[in-house]
Amino acid sequence: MTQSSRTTGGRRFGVGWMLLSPALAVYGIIFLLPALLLMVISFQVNAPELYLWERVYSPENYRRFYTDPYFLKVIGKTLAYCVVVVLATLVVGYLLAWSIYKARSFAKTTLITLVLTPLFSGALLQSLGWYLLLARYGPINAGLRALGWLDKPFNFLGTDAAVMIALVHAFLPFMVLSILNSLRTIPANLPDAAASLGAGSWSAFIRVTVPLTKGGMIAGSGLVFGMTLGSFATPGIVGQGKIQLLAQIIYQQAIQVFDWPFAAVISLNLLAMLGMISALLALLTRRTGGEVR
Amino acid sequence: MNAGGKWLSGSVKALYHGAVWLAFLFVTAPGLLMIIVAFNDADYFSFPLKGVSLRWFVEMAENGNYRGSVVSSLRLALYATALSVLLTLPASLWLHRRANRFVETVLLAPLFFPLVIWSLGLLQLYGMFGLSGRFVTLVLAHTVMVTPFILRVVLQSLREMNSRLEEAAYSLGAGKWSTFRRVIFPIILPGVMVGAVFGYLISFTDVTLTMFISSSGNTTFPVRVYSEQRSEGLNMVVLAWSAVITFVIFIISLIGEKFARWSRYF
Repeated sequence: MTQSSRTTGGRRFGVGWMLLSPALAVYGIIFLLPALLLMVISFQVNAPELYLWERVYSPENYRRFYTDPYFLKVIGKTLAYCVVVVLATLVVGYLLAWSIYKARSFAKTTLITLVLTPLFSGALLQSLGWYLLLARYGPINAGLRALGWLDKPFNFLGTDAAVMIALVHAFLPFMVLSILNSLRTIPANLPDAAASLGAGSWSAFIRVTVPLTKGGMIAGSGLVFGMTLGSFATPGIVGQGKIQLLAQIIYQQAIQVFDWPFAAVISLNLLAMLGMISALLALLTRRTGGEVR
Repeated sequence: MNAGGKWLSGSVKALYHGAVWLAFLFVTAPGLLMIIVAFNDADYFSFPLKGVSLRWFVEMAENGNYRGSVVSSLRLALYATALSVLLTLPASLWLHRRANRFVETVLLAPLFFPLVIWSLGLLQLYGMFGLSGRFVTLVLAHTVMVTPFILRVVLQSLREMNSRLEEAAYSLGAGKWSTFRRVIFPIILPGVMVGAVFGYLISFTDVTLTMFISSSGNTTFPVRVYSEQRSEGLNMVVLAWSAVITFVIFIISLIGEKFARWSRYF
């Protein structure tokens, strides 16, 4: 095939790198270069007034990061958030995906739209919604006081639970769609076949359906884990500055403290954690034979 | 529902339906509340509403204060999406032919790369060349941010296309360009449009990337509201804008799912 396309003077698309080079050029400058720059900068002694070539290099920033208990605590806290948010989105996401999968076609469109809308609304509008829900004079406080469970308004904003709930809500659509799309690839008669072979419906669900969606669950978990690890706006609004996750610390170091090298060190550590998790999930996928879509 | 209904005893079934309802309430509550409170007939956010009125929408239409940042968001998303489509079309044609996993991974990478980290690198890169805060730097960054979303949809459209049609066009003597223009492009056009809408919304609603690299002159609506909210709280005009944007996004995702079934692209 390639032979013939070469001899006919490249009549087919994709012969030339010309098609690819504009995208690669933009990526190189806007995406790859900044990432490389971070690695270089992470070894610099902070001196914004000096030119790049005049700066002094040392591993000091890394030493400071790994020996300061504050940053280790932030890492631990961020990872704990990731685990909680992934597990919660898995449970709630599976429930939603299953109910959409089983719904009739008209209801299906509406239900999917309800799940998609938060996804497209973005972090700001979503977290403003949670900000209003959880505020001192918001509906949740009003409801709890009407029930007599609270005597005076309680500020839920700035608590770990509030931020976790908002993050679960923010990343839930990705999990639902991941699982839903892997449910859609299951042949419709397979669970029935299992049932006709004597499996109860519940055991057919657990032993046939769930294993077949393992790929979607793993892919969704990876995505949600990564997004929680880098979440910035939601903890900012719902956490009201009281909840400091890694991304907030990076912003603070870069924009407020103006210590770019140190912000770079934190960033690279975050990236390393993401890399390890991806490798782990890839291994898990291969081990269980699930297929990542 | 029927097939599953047999095995669930009544109470378990009720529990399941209750859980599904609760889960959907959880998904929709923030957006719904966002729309409801904008109708409040009071000077600040309160719940229950003090009364229903449209006055904040009127105020929103008359008050130019936030309109500038909304327009700035719309414009940025438009330029970034258009530029990204121009980059994505040829790149996806190349990828469709070559099926090069490495190049595909590189082009999809921004999807999985934490925005904070990338934004920090960009901030430093732009700073080094004295370009910080220029509108064009925002457009380029947003272009790369939305490209993976568009690329995925366009690639899938190409893969779903019947390749015989393309072969037929060539064998009938059509050149590369006219085959693209008359055969391939019309077939993948719905996919390109879905991708463009995806990309547009991603860019329009972004906080993180814009927060790092925008200047006060070209701040977008989400970034402006984010910074204000932290310092001076929310005002009713912002809530009115948020209600309108939430509603428009709901309509767009309804249309996209009904006519293009776009949830399958994820």
